[in-house]
Amino acid sequence: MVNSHFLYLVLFAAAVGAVLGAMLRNDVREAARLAMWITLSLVGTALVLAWAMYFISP
Amino acid sequence: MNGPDFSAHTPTPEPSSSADSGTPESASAADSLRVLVSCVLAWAIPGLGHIASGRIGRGIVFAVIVLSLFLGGILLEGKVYRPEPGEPLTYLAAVGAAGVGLPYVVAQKAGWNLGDIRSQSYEYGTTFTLVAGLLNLLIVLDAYDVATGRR
Repeated sequence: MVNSHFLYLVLFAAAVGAVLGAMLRNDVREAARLAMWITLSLVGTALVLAWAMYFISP
Repeated sequence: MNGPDFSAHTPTPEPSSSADSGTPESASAADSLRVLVSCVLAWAIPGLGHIASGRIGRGIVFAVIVLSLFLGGILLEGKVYRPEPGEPLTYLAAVGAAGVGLPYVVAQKAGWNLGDIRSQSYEYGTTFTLVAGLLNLLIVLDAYDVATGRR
């Protein structure tokens, strides 16, 4: 089993994005676009916070 | 001069009584039952509430993603929360995890709920199972909106 923190992060973000996209948009394209946006936002936020924690760590 | 001929006209039927199924009261009760059934189905099997309401594509998407998330969490050796006496937060977490419906019951009964705390993916797996339940609770609310015609 591949133990990659980043892989788990991306899978989780994709799942949450897909569910919210399908729930909040009726059009398939709009749903896919929202899902992608949510996924990228979650991954991006995690990366930003990770680097912030890296630089503020003792 | 003859008067009007009413013999050719058949009498119009009287309006149906309140005991018949076509009244607003009985239709409202039927609608409420349909909404309730849709919500129960949505909780029991992720996506089934939407499929029952005619939103088949959306229901399939929900089913695949939520069940994959829950099963993935178990495969990652995560824990499926259950209420533990003396640990009040586990009650809250159990409510969240139980949101996934019958898969939660199956996991508890089959002994797949313990996880392996020594595993590197334990925390991820536990998060996956918990979030699968929480997402399905959102899906139940969406199934309610679909069944009541708001979506």
